[in-house]
Amino acid sequence: MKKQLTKLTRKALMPLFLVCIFMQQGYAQDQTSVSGTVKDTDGVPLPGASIVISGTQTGTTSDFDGNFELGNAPSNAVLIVSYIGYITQEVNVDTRSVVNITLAEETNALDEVVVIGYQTVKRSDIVGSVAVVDTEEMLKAPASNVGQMLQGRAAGVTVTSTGNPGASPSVKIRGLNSFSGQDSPLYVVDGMLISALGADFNPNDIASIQVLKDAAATALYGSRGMNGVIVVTTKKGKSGPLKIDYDFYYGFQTINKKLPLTNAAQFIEINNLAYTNNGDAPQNLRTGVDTDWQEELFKTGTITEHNLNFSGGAENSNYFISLNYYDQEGAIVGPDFERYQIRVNTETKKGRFTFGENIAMSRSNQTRVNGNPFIDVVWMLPTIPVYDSGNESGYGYGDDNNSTFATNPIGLQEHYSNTAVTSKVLGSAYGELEIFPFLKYKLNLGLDYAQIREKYFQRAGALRQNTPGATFLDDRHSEFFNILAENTLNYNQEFGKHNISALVGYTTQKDNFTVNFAHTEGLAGEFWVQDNGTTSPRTEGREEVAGLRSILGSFNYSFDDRYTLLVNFRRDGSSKFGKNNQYANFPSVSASWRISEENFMENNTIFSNLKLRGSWGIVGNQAISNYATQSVLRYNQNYVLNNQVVPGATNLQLVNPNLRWESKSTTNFGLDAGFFDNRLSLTADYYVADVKDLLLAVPIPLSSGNTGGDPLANVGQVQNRGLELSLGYQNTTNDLSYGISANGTFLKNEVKALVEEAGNLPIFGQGQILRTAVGEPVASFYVLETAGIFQDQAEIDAWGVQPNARPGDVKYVDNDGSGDINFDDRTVVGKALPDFEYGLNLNMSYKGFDATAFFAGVTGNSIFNEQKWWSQRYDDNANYLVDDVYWTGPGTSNLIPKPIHADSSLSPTQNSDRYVEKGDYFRLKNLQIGYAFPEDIISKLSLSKLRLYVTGQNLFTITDYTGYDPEVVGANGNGDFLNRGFDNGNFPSLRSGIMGIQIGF
Amino acid sequence: MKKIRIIVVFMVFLGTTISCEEDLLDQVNPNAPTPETFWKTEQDAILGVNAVYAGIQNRELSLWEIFDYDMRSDEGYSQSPWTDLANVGRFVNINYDFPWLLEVWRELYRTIYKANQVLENVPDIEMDETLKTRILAEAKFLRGHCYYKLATLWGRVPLVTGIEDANTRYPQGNIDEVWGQVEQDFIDASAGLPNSYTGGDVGRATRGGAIGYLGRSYLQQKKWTEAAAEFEKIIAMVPGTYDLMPEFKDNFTEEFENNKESLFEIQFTNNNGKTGGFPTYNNASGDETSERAQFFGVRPLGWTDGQPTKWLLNQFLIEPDQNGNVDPRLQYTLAYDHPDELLYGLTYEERSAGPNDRFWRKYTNYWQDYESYFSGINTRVIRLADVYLMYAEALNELGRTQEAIPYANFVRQRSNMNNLPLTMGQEEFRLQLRHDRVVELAGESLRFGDMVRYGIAGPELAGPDPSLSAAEADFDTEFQNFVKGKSEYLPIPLREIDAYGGGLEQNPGW
Repeated sequence: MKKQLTKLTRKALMPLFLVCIFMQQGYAQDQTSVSGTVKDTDGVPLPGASIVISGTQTGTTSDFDGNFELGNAPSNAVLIVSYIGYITQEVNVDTRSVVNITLAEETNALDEVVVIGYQTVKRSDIVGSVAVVDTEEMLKAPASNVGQMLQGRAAGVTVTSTGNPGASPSVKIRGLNSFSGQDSPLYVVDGMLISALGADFNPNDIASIQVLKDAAATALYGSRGMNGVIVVTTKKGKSGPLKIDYDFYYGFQTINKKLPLTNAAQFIEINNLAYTNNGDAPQNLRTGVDTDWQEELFKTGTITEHNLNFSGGAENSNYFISLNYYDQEGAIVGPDFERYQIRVNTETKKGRFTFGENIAMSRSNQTRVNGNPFIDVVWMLPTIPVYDSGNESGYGYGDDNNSTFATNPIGLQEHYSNTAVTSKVLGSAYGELEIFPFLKYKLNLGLDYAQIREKYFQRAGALRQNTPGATFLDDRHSEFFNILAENTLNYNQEFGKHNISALVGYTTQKDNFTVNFAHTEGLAGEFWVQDNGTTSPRTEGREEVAGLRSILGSFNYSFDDRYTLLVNFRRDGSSKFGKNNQYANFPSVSASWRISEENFMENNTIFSNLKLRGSWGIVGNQAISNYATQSVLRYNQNYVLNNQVVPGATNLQLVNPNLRWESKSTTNFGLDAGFFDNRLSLTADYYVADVKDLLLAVPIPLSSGNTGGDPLANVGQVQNRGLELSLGYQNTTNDLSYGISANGTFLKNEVKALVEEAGNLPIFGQGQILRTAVGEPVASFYVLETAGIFQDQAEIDAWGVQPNARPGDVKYVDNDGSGDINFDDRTVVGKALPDFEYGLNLNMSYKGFDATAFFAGVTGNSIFNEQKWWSQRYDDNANYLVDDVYWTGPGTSNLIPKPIHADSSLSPTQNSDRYVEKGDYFRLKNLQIGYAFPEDIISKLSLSKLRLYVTGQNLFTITDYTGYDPEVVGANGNGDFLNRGFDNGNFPSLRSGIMGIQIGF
Repeated sequence: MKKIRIIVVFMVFLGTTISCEEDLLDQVNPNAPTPETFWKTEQDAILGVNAVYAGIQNRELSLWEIFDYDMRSDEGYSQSPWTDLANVGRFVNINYDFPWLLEVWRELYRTIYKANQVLENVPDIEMDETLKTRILAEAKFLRGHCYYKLATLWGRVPLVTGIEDANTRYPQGNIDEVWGQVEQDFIDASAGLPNSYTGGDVGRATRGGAIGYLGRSYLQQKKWTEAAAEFEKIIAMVPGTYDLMPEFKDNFTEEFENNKESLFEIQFTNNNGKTGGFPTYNNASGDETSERAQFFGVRPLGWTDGQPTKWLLNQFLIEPDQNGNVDPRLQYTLAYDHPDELLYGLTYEERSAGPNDRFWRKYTNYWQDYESYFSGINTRVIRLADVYLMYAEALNELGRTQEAIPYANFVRQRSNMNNLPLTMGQEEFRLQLRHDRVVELAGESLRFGDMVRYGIAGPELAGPDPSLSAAEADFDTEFQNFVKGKSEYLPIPLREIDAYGGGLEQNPGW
């Protein structure tokens, strides 16, 4: 055996994966008077469990079938039986010769060891605000990526996802903290720091996820800690023979809802009326065509995943290999996403030295949604056919008699093509040396490499009225090569009741980025390569490098497991800033008091755990693009002389060379309590986070001549205050086990300062619908207020401020009292971020059956519904809603105006509260019922596990929102403060029905 | 243990080498030069001034400004379904930051910034002095071009004459100061520009262009004497440098660009030979085309976002030519429903155009059977016919009517119109000249300035029945919303006033 292990150590320095699969184990065994079997509570043998005679060095490990034999054991010996992840048991031999041992899985969450970044601590020792995600429950809801799975699983984490295959959801921790667009958390995957974790990462590999929220928890990530940190640790093999797990599921996905749009006959009636009402002859609308654009676009999508794991290990080494295939065919014509991933995680110990690596290689193919089909289905007219052989493209679209500027949404997906192929290597390799038992040195090398090939092409012919449609092809090739090197020294020593641990580190990261773009036109046939272009070739390209160099330190002192003090520090230097502001410091201090360990609590029967926590600290955000402090000349400012193009060059963009880091100081108070043997647990956190020096584009006068975005300055201030609650209850009686866990997040967000020099002018988002203003929450809906519909001329005269209105027009409120209606009358009518978000997970198991129901919801937010805007604007042709009762005379409607085509007065197209709706919802995100076959059946099948399950997702939603789906990220899928909550064709969440099987060999 | 030692050494080696790249934090943009490294050579100076020209050609300026000038005059109106766009010509602007107002303002100042970079940096470059003088004069000319537009569209605007940092707020000039800036730039430009160019420089600003523009600036301020003096300098260059083209129509096609009649043009070309798709700009092989024809072309080939009023058509029908036929300029200016009229090769009926639909022909490619975003037709900024008519106006206002009339007649003769008798009185000729400018220069973005100068813009132009559309009424009914003392200027973008944070006053009435 020793020989084999040495060999293994040697091979560990080479790519390990293949070697490990076939690794065999044999354990030298002596003759003994005590033998037995180690099994878990399910009766599954535990190979590789350690059996040691208490007080001696004598011991052994269980073999492949969990059997062990121990020679020369005293008859009164106490055996200490341990296995990673299981509760260690002490067993009296009591003169028996056969001792069978059943180990229970470690369920006491407080003793669970969690990774919180550079350190690993017992959960009970956590001082900062850290949400430990129940990974097992999380993985029950199939999804393409981690973000989506996190939804509702952790207090303080806001996830908004869509049904768009392969799209990453918006993940925000503790509110919107930055205006720079860089407001998403940092991900630390097995020690590699990355800014996004998308669908090319296989979430089934996750062993644990911790969400670091307050400054005490994130200060060690310094300049990247401001938006929170999500620490992901992937699975490792357990000592024992090769274990094979195979999971598979297949399911169907559909869009929950169809908007009640008019059919051709209904449409013609209203449209003709709109023209007549404007004094025009109606359009000569096509008859004999009645297209239901939603029916044509929507389809039943599928979702499927294969996940095959090999894992195992010997005493000093382990391996975990996973092969993954995920495929999602969209629920509308067009988009799909598939992922192939292989992961190899290994770790080897030899004496004082530990070496390991975690590496995942993936390739994903995505067909993206093209254009904005969820708007086009409303904008399109039912009198236009999907396919029209009279058009060059073969697709129907608006014409003179059926005028609409919608783009054929089917054609967008079929006739045009928008794909991306991503190849990615994400991983880390590390070596750890135990210099002394209390001092360890670790070198961690991380790699995040990605190659993205994006291809977009359009076939010949138009898909939209008056819009030319020539063939063209765009190829974009981007390469990201980000490397990280971290050197850390970890010190940990106990002196009686005093425990001191400390960490110092020196790290550097270098991010390289290259992009090349090529465009060509006039392609013939189905040959979508640049070589086939005949006209207008165009290329673009650039390179970027960013460096980050840091030192970090942590000091932790605890006394008697009762009082803990933790000081963290990081100093970051970034190449993105000018010499004058290159470095910044990020300190944090925190303390906790575990009251339940006090003597006076000894006799209490209520609390099994009670801990108070407090922390303060500063973290930052280096939220600027590379070279943002450097002014440059731009070429290709070309002109024409003598009919020839001549080149020009000039500076376009003014920059601010004095940019600094954004920073956030957080004060956090927390309480952890456990009741009744920790069956009931409660965690509460209250925090006040003051974000300052926020990078904002300060609107400088247009007369400065600046092009391409106003220069940034560190001016903004935002305060986020929140209360986060998590409650869990878990109980087991006989065969029945049940649990409930709930979390809720109350968030209050207020902008304290914007650009003070410019009078704190509000910042407006897309379409001037959202604004961010001092004294208001980030991203508030700021639109005209309406007061119904003018019923008659007398009402118009009485109203006074809209003299040109006619009966049936929308009545706007003159909020500034100026006597007329203009942009100054806009007012705040809602906000994009909810007041309260919650998740509720119920689980139950009885014998082989298990059931999980997961609910999530939000309340207090609003959504701007652009579909409604299209269906009620009337001035420009779009489809209408069947249910809309429009004004036809006094008293007929006070909600929807008289349909008038091409209205020149204050038309319903003005952004108003008519289109801002409540965004509250309560939704059954996931419901799963499973059955695990009992041991007698699976052992006959030579399996260790066999479980079947069915899952339903988004089975019901309670909401007043009239658009497709209240779960709206923001305009064009962008969840930042300028776009949030603006539903301009958001891809709705899907209802899924999934069947799955999990097999263990 | 030996292996472990090797591993440890290897680890420390890795840890230190990877971590110790010395210049890790000194990343200089590898993609472009900085202002400190640029502006060193003659070539840099040429590139710099070319970029200023690119500014006046930019679609957000050269295209949108047509709407701001021509839709607001009584020559044009818009039936665009985009209400905010149509509203520009109706003197109703709810949104002061409507792109076609704001972007014109913005692009004018971007161009001024580019010109100021040249004026600031080129003097220090060691290069041919003659060329340096010319380049500086070109930058002045282009800056004057921009301030002329600012003066006529907004009036009191910030006078930006340097390149300070982003925090600088240049003071708002009063109307005289803004005009003063325009005059000074053209005076400086005319001193440094050559009379003409050859080869690859044809199309650059000329001395004649600067003088003509200076004269126009004086005229707009009713500085008749000064204006006349400048126009005389141009007339002194006839026929050696300038002359009327034999045919009126030759001023609006790609065929006779930079011709003898032309003092300055904004240059366009369809260098990529495209007929479909959208243009792209500012890249290695970008398009340098005009989208004007697409925006004004007959629907569905073009967007028909602006159309000539019935009033304009009527002006052409007032006076027949020498043979009793319709003024020949009409057919090159606009299309209207009458026998034999073809819209890009098809009849009115075939194009589903209504009897009250009239379409701009000037600056479109109406002889083709298609229209696209890729028109190469240059925009004529000043041409000799305009100079003649301006000169005639200046002389007439100075009481020199008899001297003035022949210049109006030069323009009329070219289009086979009867000569005006030299006996006309001052007022009679004044009114005739106003008419002559309309039929000669319609659609060349001059009429709105003329109306303001004449003092005739007002709600009375809407005629007796303002409820009719400008397509069917004999008057531009859009003027019903015109408020004297307000509507002569556009509102300064709210964004600009806000960004100033005080010190920038909105135009009166807005």
